[in-house]
Amino acid sequence: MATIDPSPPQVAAAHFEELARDYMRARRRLTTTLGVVFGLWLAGFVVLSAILRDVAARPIAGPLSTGWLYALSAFPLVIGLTWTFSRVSATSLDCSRSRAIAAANDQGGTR
Amino acid sequence: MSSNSAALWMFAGIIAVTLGITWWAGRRTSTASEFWAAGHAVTPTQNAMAITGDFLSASAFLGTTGLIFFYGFDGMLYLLVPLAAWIPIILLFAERLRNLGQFTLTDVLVNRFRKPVLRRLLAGSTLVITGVYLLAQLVAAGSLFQLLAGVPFSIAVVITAVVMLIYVTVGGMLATTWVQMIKAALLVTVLTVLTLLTIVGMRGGVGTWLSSALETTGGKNPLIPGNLLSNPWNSVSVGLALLFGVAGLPHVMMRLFTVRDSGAARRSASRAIAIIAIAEVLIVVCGLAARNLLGDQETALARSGGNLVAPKLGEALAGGPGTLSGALVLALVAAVAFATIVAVVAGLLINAASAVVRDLWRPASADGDAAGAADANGTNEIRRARTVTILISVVMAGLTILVGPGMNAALLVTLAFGIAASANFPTLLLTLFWRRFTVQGAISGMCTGLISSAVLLFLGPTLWPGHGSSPLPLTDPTIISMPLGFLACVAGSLLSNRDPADEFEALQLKALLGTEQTDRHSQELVTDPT
Repeated sequence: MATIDPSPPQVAAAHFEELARDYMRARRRLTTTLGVVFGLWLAGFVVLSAILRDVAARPIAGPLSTGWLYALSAFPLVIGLTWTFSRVSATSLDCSRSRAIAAANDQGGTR
Repeated sequence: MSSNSAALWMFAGIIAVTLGITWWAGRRTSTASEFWAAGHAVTPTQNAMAITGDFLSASAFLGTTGLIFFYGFDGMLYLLVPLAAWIPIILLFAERLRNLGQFTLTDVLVNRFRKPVLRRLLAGSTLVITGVYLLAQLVAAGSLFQLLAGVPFSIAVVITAVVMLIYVTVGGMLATTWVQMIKAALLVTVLTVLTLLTIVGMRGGVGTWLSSALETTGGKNPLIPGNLLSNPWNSVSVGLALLFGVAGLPHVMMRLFTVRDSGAARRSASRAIAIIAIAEVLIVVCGLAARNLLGDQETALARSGGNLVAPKLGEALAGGPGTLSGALVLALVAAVAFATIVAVVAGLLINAASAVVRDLWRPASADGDAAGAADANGTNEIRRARTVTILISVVMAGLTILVGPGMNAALLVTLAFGIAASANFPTLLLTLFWRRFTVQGAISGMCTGLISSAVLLFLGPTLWPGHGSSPLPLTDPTIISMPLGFLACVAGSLLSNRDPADEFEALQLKALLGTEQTDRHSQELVTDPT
């Protein structure tokens, strides 16, 4: 038997809107933070490989040079950023997304 | 047993297994959705393996090993930057593309701007990018076959083209997915074997091994950037192409449409990044091992554009030329490299066919709905796809034979990345993120990016047809063509009026929430965006 939704459509719409905006804001915050970390690493790589080539060639860890070490740091960095994004998405963002979708589905008046 | 006959048996084994899978997949492919996107039923882990198989092409395995062997640090650039390119993809594109697209990248654009002309333009740029990428793979396939089977380059190219043709025409995306998964598993296995053989063969510890690998040879210090890309602007330009080109590569992005929803697309991408990173670490080890073991063969290996460094490394690690173990490992590496190539070319081919059939050949309908209604389960579409696949294969095989075996696969692929970064990436990014973006902006951006990257490539040293030095000193012109693409997008948008039917807020909601139910509610946000 269908139940009557107690909230009028305008309230439900406002609720959906609020949840959707919360989700998008949280997602933007996470993306920006990770993007800034990535951008800084990238800027360092560009500087070393194109501008400060002498610094890049300077051995600092046995036979490995600054440039090689910095380049190799891409592997842990990329995996770390990906893991963080996936983890936060799965544990927090997906829930907030589901709430917004549920609010959208509930907005019909009857369920 | 000679390495030639062992390699041929291994080639035959891989082809037999993958053709069996193709036959199995062909029996399960009857609708257009199954043909183009494997019915959106691929699991995230399967798709991650397939993305790895699609992404790590001959250029990564054969080409980059060769570039690290010859140039040291500059070779690393060709390996690391494409890996780093997955960060923008996972942060900005993966989920959005899956929520907005069905089968191709053009679906995403058309979701916002319902104009058939955009579909055709993006299809054109897809064909150019895919064509250059296919050329690289076929050149590498021809070189390999020549080495191992003593078969002439042209015959080798024809054999590869026929195999990829069968995969795609018979099994569609499902067969392509399985071929790519098998290839990824084989590639990681063979890289692990080479790394283990390197570790077993190390004398004097890692420090000594590294010191020897990073010694200056032939006047080139592998620690210094600039052995290959001596012009710093060229380094930045190649970096831009590799970093932003991946998001514009239609055959890689197409894989995100094969999973059920946006969450699965994100999981696919994140798992793929992990597998690709592991494989690339192993490629670095192989490149350095080659510097240790094959230093005296530099001149001979340079003739193959560096594409044969990896197979020769396998031979050297397992006992050297003339030994049975050396012959077997050489054959194994070459057979896996061949599997690598056919898996990638299958992905490229289905992508090129989708661009022609879905975006160019369809009746003039903005989103293809009318055409879809007339051919409900896509029988005619699949028939057209098979015809187009045959045509593309014939054209590409002919072009590859004309180009010949002397090109380095990694360098050719960089050209494709550059075009993708200049033509597709700006349009895709601004479609998803800029409210003021218009159809005119998209058209001018795509045309400018495509034309400028192609023209500048011919003015650069790689493709300059004239005598003497080229007018443009950059081997890769992305540093000029990508900003030009962005500028044209912005100028075109600012000089035109926004379409009143453009529902940017609705698109943003759909891109992130991804449910059809949100469509109605997002309309309300458009009319009342407070």
